[in-house]
Amino acid sequence: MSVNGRGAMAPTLTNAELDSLREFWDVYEPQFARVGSELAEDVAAHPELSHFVGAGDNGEVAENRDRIAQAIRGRDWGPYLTDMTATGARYAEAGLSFSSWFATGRALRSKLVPLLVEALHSDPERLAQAVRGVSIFIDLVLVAVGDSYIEAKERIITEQQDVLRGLSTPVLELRSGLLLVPLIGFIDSERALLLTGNLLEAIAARRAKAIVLDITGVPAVDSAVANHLMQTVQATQLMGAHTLISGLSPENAQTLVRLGLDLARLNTVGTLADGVVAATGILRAAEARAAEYETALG
Amino acid sequence: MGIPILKQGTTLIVSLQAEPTDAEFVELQQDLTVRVTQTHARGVIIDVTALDVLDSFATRTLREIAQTVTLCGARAAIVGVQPEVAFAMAQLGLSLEGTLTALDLEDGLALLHAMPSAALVT
Amino acid sequence: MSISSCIAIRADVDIISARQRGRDLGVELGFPKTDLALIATAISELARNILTYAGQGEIEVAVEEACGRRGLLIVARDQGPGIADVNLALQDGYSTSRSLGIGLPGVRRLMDEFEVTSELGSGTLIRALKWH
Repeated sequence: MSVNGRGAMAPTLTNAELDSLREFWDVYEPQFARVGSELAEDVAAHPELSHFVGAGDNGEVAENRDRIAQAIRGRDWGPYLTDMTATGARYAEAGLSFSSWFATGRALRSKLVPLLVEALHSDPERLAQAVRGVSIFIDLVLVAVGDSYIEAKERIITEQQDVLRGLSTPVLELRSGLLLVPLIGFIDSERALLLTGNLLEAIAARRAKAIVLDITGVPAVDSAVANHLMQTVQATQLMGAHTLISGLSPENAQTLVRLGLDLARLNTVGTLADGVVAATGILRAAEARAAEYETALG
Repeated sequence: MGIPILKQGTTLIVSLQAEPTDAEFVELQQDLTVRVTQTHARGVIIDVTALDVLDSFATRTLREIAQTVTLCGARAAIVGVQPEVAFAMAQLGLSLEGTLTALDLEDGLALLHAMPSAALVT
Repeated sequence: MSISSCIAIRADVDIISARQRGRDLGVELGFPKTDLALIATAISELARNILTYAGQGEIEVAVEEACGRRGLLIVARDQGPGIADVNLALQDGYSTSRSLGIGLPGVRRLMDEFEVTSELGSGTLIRALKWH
């Protein structure tokens, strides 16, 4: 049996599987609405699910039942799988956790099995078939919802990353020749490159000599991040600018030292304020030099 | 012959117009050491504004020239590295560490002017 | 408009020619100036490696098209001694201070696609691509 939730394509089911599904649906169909409202009651107590998984009004319930009937009896899985795919995406967009919606499958199974036992206890073979049908059905649903959930989640993460990247490299000119770059969020190699490129252009455009790169807002500072920052510092040096790194927490500093990193090469200062003070000092020295040179020429 | 070396006060200025060949680099190094000694120059500026690439060889050679010049008693500075060149160098992990750098000729001259004479010690 | 150019690498002046050809092609393809610098630097490093390790070889620059995208392809070929352990040569390390050249990992960082084919005694083929 195979299902492609993303394309909501029809599953390939054996005849035996189809029989099992029909067996199960014969018992479930007339009880569909009742099971649904019972489930809704259970779900109402669940912290996450209560917002998203409701019983729905009678119209919705009937539609849902008909879609399943169309699938199992009419062998047309299109509408039902499409609906499940949309559900998966909806759960992902709503931020529902994987375990929560997965639990609804379990809840449904626990409601259905007693139902089947009650209806078919006199015919063990049919009961066995029907119970198999429940499994097949729930697996189909979970795969369809799951696939679409994962796809939506990945899309959301990519979008979030893009937004972060857009916010990520503001270069602020505090005063002529002094740039402040407050970094927020995780630094990966792509972001580090973007940062370096922007910074170098800014140095050329604004004739900057002192840069404060503040990493207070960078949550994880490991040796990889430290190396990225060192590369950035080095690159700015090529253009005659000094870059100071501010906002490295004492804990992170300790970790980096223990990892064998030479923090001196990172040009760390304490807080952002310390960084601005130091950078201003660098600028003043440069300005004094320029003035002195002017005088000497004159 | 070779790459022209200009003199401004006590500073020698070399403006590279195109990436020198290996031979031109060697010649430049020799010429500079001779000129520094002859003129008692206190500073040497190598302006790479016109260069669109600084590969590992050029970077290493420039550092060596700067070191040699310093051994002859002058301070050396590399100026004019363009942002996209610096970017490429950063990705390759190339650096001019240990060598003075400045944004351009003007800044470089001011920088060297402010420095005391390079003493002949490490 | 040039489709492909092959530059023989026999002396250091050829490095400059190869770089120039690559840059010209890059300009034709409309690469921004940052990418032009990366392409030129990559060609420079690859050409220099050819000179250093094989004595001579060739650099080819060409346009590559796929799925509606255009890119600049650099192929560096030589019949030199070859690389004993390509995987080792491609290992990324932060210390790029080998005394000769900057190694393949550095060049790989500059390009979008990078492939090395080499065996001891049978020369080296490097294929590097930058997409527009």
